[in-house]
Amino acid sequence: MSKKSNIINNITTIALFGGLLVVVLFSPNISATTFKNYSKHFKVSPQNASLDIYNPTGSIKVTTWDKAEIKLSAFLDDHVEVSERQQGSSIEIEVHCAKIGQARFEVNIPQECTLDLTCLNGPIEVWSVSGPISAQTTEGEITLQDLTSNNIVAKTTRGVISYKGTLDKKGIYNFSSIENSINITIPASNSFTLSATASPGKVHLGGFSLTDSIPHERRISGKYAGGGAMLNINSHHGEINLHKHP
Amino acid sequence: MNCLDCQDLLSEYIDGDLKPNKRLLVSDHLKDCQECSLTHQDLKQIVGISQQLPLLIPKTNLWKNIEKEIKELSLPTAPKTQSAWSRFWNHRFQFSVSVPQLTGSLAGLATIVLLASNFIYSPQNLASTPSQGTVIAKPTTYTSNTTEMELTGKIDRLSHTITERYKDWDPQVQKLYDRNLAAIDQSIEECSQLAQKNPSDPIVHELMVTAYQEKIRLLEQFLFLHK
Repeated sequence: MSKKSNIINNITTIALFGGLLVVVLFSPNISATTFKNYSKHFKVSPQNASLDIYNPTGSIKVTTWDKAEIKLSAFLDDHVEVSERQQGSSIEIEVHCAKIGQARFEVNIPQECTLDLTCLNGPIEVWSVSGPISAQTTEGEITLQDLTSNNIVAKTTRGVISYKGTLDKKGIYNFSSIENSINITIPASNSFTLSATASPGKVHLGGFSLTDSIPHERRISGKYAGGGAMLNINSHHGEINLHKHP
Repeated sequence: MNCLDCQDLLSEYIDGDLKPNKRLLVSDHLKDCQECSLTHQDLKQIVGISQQLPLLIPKTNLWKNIEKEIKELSLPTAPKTQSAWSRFWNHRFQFSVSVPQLTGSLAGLATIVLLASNFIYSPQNLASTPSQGTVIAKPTTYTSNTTEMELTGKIDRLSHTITERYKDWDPQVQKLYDRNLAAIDQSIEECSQLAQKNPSDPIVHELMVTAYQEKIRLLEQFLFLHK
């Protein structure tokens, strides 16, 4: 092969790669979305701490630690903005975005912290919290693990709700999903007053035998171990499953 | 928080409708205050019992009648000037009546009314079956109760605002909204059909209320999204 044709080949290759690079960089469909990291710490008094997060475009995962502070870390799409407000030990976080993107929050809180979490299209996960909890989402799942809270509200339109934890005898627990199942795992030693509403045949008590029950096609209600915690579960199209854990 | 504030919030506390901050305040107060704690226990018991009672559905005209009565009661009663005829009748009927006389008169009046009603009363739909002589009960039709009507009113207002904003949303947001709205609307439709079949079933109505509340939650979330 002649020296001239080698030069032509090299020029062609460089031109092709250059063209490809231009296409990749400037095409709106192929251009890579850029992300940013978000991190904040707030000093709080654990007994009075409360955290309110509104995240319409992603998920929230909450775990506990022994520090007197709340730490938020998130992986955000470039177009997503976050605003914060602190008043004493009450923290409010709001995510702003004009279109659906990614905002995945991981949060560490004191165990007693009160939580108010709202998502739109993402899941909510809460671990080992003992303070009151409100968790609401539209499409995502709600997973509540190892909780000892005495006041829980969990609502989702299309997601599954899973709860594993203890029930306080004086506590109130409301779980609701329009489209999907609700799974509740509680110790056999807990006592509660159940009201579980679902389509006929879709409530499974998992060995909890109720007294004072009032039969109805769509609702199973009654007391377990003499009654105690008010456990209200509602699913329009999903199953309601109760499980015992030792 | 003082006792008055606490007791104001107790119903919402029991229903689980309070924001976590307030819930915590109420919960803390209940730990320290025996009186409020007792009220809380009583109220919780009442709520528990009332949840098992059948839901009575008021007739659609009930509220209109109440409104009418309130209006009548609140109207200022201007002293009326009496005409000559009314003065005559007032004077004419100023006499005393003994109890046996009154009882006898009422019994007579009742007899006349009963006899007259046999001639006057002609229930609907009897024209086709006059020979049987039985009254055909009209099928009980489902009518939304007050709570449901309030919720549908709120849904209408929110939906109106959403419709105005919908076209400006990102297509992915529109899809998300449509998907979830369809799921809730399907539930509302199913509850509505169930309610038509079982108009006096309280649990069907509760399901309907839950579905409406879920729709309001969805609409509010999407309104808040694009504030």
